[in-house]
Amino acid sequence: MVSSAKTFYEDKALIFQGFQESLEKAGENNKLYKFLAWVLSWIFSTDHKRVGILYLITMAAFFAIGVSLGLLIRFELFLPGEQFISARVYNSVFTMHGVIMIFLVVIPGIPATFGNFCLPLQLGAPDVSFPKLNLSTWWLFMIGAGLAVLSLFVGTNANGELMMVAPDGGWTFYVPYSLESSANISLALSGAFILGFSSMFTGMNFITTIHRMRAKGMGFFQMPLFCWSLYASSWIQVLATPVVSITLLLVIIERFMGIGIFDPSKGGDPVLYQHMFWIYSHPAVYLMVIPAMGVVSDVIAVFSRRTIFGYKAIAISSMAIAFVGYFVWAHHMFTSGMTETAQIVFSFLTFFVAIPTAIKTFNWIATLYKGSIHLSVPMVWALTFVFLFSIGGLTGLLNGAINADIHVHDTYYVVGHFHYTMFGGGMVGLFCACHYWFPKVTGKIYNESVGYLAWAFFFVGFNTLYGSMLVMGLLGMPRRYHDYLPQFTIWHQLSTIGAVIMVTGLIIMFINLLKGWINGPKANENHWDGRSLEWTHSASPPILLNFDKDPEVQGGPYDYDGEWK
Amino acid sequence: MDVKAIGVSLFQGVTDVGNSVDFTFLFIFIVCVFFLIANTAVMVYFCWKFHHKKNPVGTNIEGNTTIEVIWTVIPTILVMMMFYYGLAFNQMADLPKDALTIKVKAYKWAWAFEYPNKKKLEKEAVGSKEWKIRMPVLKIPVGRAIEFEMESSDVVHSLYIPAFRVKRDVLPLIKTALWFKANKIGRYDLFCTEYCGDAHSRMYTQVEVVSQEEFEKWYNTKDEGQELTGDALVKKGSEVASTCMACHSTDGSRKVGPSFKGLFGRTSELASGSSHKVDEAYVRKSILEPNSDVVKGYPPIMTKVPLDKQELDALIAYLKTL
Repeated sequence: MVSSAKTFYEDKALIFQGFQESLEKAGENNKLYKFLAWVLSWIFSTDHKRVGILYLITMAAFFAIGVSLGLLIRFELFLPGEQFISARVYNSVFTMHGVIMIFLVVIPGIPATFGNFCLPLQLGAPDVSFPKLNLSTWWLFMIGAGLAVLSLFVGTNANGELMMVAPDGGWTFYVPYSLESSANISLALSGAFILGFSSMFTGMNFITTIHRMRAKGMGFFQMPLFCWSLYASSWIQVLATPVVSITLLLVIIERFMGIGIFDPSKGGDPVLYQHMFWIYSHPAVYLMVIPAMGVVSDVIAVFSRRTIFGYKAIAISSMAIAFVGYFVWAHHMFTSGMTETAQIVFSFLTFFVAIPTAIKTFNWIATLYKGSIHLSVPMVWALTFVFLFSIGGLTGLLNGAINADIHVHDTYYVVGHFHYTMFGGGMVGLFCACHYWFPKVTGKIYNESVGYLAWAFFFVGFNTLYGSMLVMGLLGMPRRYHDYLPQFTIWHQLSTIGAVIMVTGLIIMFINLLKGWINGPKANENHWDGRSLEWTHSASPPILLNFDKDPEVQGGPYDYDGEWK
Repeated sequence: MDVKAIGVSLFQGVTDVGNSVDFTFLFIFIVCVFFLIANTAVMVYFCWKFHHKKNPVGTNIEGNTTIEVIWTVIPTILVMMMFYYGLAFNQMADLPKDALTIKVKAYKWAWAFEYPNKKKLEKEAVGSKEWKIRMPVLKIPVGRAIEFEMESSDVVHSLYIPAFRVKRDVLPLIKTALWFKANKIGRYDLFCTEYCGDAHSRMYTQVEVVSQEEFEKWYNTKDEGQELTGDALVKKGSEVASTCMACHSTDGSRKVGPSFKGLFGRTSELASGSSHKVDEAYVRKSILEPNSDVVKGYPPIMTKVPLDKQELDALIAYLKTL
């Protein structure tokens, strides 16, 4: 299988290859042509590594925009009353912060970046199953993202004149508000609709790759746990995304034609929208965090220089989370007016998601036992993930219990909780991956001391920022508020101070990685003494099609019984 | 009058359900803090104890079924307890028979309350130092079950009284309900917690819990149906109009809707294509059926504000003065 796939890829690593080659030829004398050829060699490359890096760079840009918007929110809320943006602008800012962070950063997140880069390497495959489809996901992503960002700036007012109308209503776009709001929601929704396809294609590609392209000797239970996590999250992408696509499409149709599915004045049901929205968006939460769990499983084992504790428990719990995650969506809606029976059923099911998550955490900690622990930067990030995600998960228990959730629903408690899970979980997992696979991607290494410094700023800032949110939420501060009562001032100020510290850490981290990439010292071949195929069998950075000869696997991905040679 | 409302504190016991919520919270909180501290402590201890300088070679332990079973079963038991404690909320089937049913109407961006005997609530200035709004402050008796029958006249809102630990979404054209019994006299915050547009954060009022005697006395006093005329009517109108200020200005500046300045007598171009001289009939119709004849260039999003006849007359009288 693998070798026949290899012949297939050999002449197709790049679409428009002929054009690119002729450009390169012409580029011998012309710098512009040379540059164009270089750009083409990236944006039309079907090489999974280049696609992964493309995603990483574009997502970093969107992340920077999202962080800036978040910071703007925090500055506005430093004092009660209007500081420097009006309620209307504020509403658009938090909406775009959510849309950009969720749809353009955390959902594509680890699968699109390091999933693309590492999955074939870890499986011992020359590329993913469908390289062209893989490249197309990046293009769809860019088109969808373009529409979403465009909706920030362009729209029409009631007279049909072009003007700046940014969408509001929050990233959840609840109806009927999103149906009648004059802001530019259709464009943002169309963007999200297209992004959904990007996500689904990536999922299908990964599932096929995992089933069909594992190296000789690698059964499902010899895969690194990162592959397992991608497998679980890919199923979520494939099965849940269509529901949100349908929902978004229905909102768009309803806005233009008024068919009355969600609009109560036409006999529709606004709560139906909430159900359809969360049927996707709750599994999507696991889609954001399961790959991060995979990264952390790999990193903790490698930096403990021992095999992972409870491999099967971790692998199967990923699948369990993905599976149970489908049946818990309505815990977002305990106050929506659905029946009490439904509330009780969904509360009961919700608590079952907590169990596999707890199992994972215990197994990670047990992996440290009798290891030979190296507290390098990736390991520090991995342990940070365990800590922050524990807070995220544990604070979520309160949202599962009906009576307590009724109190904290739609308050800052929820805002704090989901930032702990998605940012402290999903994004910290991505930062961990950035530091872990950095030598593999670039062949170089960043400055470790600066890496620790960035982490310290981030850690202190993060907990101040979102810890205060948890407290003020419990005290009754509702979310999506442009203004607030004086009793919440102190918590908002703490939160803003935390944000500044955290963003300082992010900037240091970003500069450190960038400097390392441009002119860092050369990394060792197997820089962290890993045992999975991307470290043992491929160069850093890996060659096109990854391996000189098809790797064969003996032993598991965390086989620390012998020395690595 | 400007009374600061009582905030949220643990086991403050304003409502019975509040104490159940706080118990669930405390139970979950203790479990969480225990696991967080225990996990983190073990993690840090292992990192120190098995640091590669002390322990150069790791031991490969593949797993242990007994331990896996233990740390699956214990969390399962704990979360099932959490689920059980979480069930203590006010179900509508348990609504006491003597409950006082108050109809709640939510609209962009204010609350309106209707008692069974149509007793009117006084509007009071509530809010913070930075902003004040005039809202009806809900008056309820202590120790008696109160049922809210809620409906929105536009988008989804959500009624939230943190000190009571109650919250329920308010949907357009679909009735939702909740009930509670307040046990302590005082004033409490009432928020909207479902995003509903520009002035979402100012869709705020307070609930005043008073003694039963005081409530009965107030409740059974007939509203003085005195006729207002002249300046008194205009003054009342300006109070009514405070609700409108989120979308309309009085100084000619453009907000979500057209300015009130010079409203009467001007000629408006309508979205339907015709133009119309603004007279009392048009203004009345535009308030009662907001989106029937929208001025060109403005979105048809005005909400139906519940006003009684006197309030409407007062509002018209006030608008004429601008």
